[in-house]
Amino acid sequence: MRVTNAMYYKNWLMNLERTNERMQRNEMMTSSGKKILYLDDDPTGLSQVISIKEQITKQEEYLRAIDDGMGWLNTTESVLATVSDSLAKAQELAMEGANGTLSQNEDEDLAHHIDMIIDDIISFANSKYGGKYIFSGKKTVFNKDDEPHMKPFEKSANGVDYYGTNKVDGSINREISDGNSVEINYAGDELFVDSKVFGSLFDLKDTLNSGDQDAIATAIEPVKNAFEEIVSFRARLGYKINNLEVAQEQHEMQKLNLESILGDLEGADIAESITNLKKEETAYQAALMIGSQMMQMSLLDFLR
Amino acid sequence: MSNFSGLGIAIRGMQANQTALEVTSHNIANVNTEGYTRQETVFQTGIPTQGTLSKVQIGSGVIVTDVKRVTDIYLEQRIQNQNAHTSYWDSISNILHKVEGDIVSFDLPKKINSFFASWHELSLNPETDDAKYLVQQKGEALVDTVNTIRSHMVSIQDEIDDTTDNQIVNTKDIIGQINDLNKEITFHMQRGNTPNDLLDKRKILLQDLVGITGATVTYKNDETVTVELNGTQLVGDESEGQEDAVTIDSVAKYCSTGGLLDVKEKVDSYIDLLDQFTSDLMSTVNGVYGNFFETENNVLSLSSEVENASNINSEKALEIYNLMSEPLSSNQFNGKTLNQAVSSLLTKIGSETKIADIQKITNEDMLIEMENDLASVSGVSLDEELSKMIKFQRAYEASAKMLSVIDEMLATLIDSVR
Repeated sequence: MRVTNAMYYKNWLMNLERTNERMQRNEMMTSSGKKILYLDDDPTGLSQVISIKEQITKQEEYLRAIDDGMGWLNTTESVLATVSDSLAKAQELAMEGANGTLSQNEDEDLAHHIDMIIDDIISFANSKYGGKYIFSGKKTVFNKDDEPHMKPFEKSANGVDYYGTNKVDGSINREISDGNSVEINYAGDELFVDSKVFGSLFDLKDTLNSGDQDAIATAIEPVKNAFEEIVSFRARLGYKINNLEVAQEQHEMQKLNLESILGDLEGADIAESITNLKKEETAYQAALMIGSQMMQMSLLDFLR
Repeated sequence: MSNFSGLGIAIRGMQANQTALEVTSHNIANVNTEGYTRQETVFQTGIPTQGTLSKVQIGSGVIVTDVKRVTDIYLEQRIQNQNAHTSYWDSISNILHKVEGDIVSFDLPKKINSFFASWHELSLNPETDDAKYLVQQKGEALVDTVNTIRSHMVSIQDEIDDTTDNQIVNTKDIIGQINDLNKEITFHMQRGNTPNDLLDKRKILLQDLVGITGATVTYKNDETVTVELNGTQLVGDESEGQEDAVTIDSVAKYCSTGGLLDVKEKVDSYIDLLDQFTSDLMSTVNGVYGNFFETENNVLSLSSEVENASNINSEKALEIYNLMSEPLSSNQFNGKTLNQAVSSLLTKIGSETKIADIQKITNEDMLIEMENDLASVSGVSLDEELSKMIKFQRAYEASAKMLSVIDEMLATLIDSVR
């Protein structure tokens, strides 16, 4: 074949251009760490990437819901622990009062002590997580419209009034896996009202004030019952937290799995792309060198 | 035989080789001229004379009969057609790369995921305005992305329209030039000249015209051409062709204009898919929420109700979040989730771009192959021209030497007479 000058330059330039293009692609892969830079790089791989990213989003949201649920349940757990301690303390005081060895004054001191315990429990029952009352049913926030009652539990002359919503009005749920949602709140009515936590303590306080030994002895029983109720709530709570932990672990595993698949699909193999880059660089340099030498050659050099 | 005929032979030898040197010089000068066809001087022996003293015929030296273009007309025609095919795929691939470049940078799937994730966040914190602002922000981001992708596609279509219009206007000019060249070529041919450089000029124009319109070129024996497109003569042999006969409807499929028209249809289908996605997104979310999204003239927006983030109703937040993985019911995306709908659009664009790229490179390679074949025949090789230069220079020198030898010879004769 007769090789002409224009042909030679053109082919050389075209090859150089294509090497350049491949080199730039490899360079982008290496610097971005991604294999799929444009839609046409791998159209089917791209649709997998999109679906995996959607699944990762879902796993992240499950984890988000579980984290939030755990926050609620852990706060609840620590409140219940303190409440059960307080109730145990109240029982101790009641035993002391029922002994019959105390004077009226000392009984009244005990009653005062019980009153303080009631105040403590009220403040615990008004606990918040993330700015929300956790024992207030679905009504987790109180604002101007709720005046004058600005908290779920408020003390009145003869008891503690509950202003949250009841268990039957609905609960707060977190979806922790597909189609599996968990209640994360205990409404104030079931936890404190139905179990007579405040009722029993108020009765105890009143009987201590009255100094009636027999009445004091009978008033211990409801406090004990309330204490047992709270303890059994704690037991169920522990089971629930455990459940959440299991789900959390599963979702984390799944997320990890999906991320590694995603990495395989769209992540560039750095070792490979750097090797390719070096290879293209060598080819490019070779083309430049050959070109510069060949282009110099001419019959002109030998004509005087 | 005249004593002076030797002088004539020597002079014709000098003249012929001088012409050849000029042609060589022309070739060397045009080594980098696009579309230039190398020219070759054709020598022929002159008409011999009958010797007066003997029966032998004596040659009368050399004459230049022609300076011809060294080319392969069939290859030229094949290149014209191949160039039209390459232009077709080149147009498509160029436009599709613009479309896909935009979409990737907007990352629509990510916007969808974070929009729905924000509803989940709201379901966790239905009481707070923060979560509502998040939903509104992510909603805005999604709306903006969809609208921007759409408007970019529309502006790419506008660009296509402008380019095709310009190209078609251009053809009128090209056809006019070809008509003029045809006339000029005929004029020279009738006088026995070969208008080599005009032929080259016409070759380039024809390739441009075929590349833009896909017209058919017919070569006549007398070096004139006719060009026909869709039954209309653009360049005629006898009568003038119709210079402004090229329209969008008359161009052939395989040419750059045809490619632009086809790729515009593709972009149309992408816009349709995107619109379908938008309407599915809107009907799905609104189906649960009520009035969250609105569209007007294909522009998606948040409804005025939710412009104020604190008005966002959080009651059905979890239900809306779950819509992310809910199958759609529209004909186009039946059974697909919103993400899968987007993914089918992106896959369509991606695979069509890939096909166009492969076709473009294949056709480009074929074109280059043919161009190389033609360059191998008609391209200028400097080394070759330089060797010819020496060859003709030497011949010229030798003829000149002959002249002085004959001169000396005549001087001897004249001296002896004196």
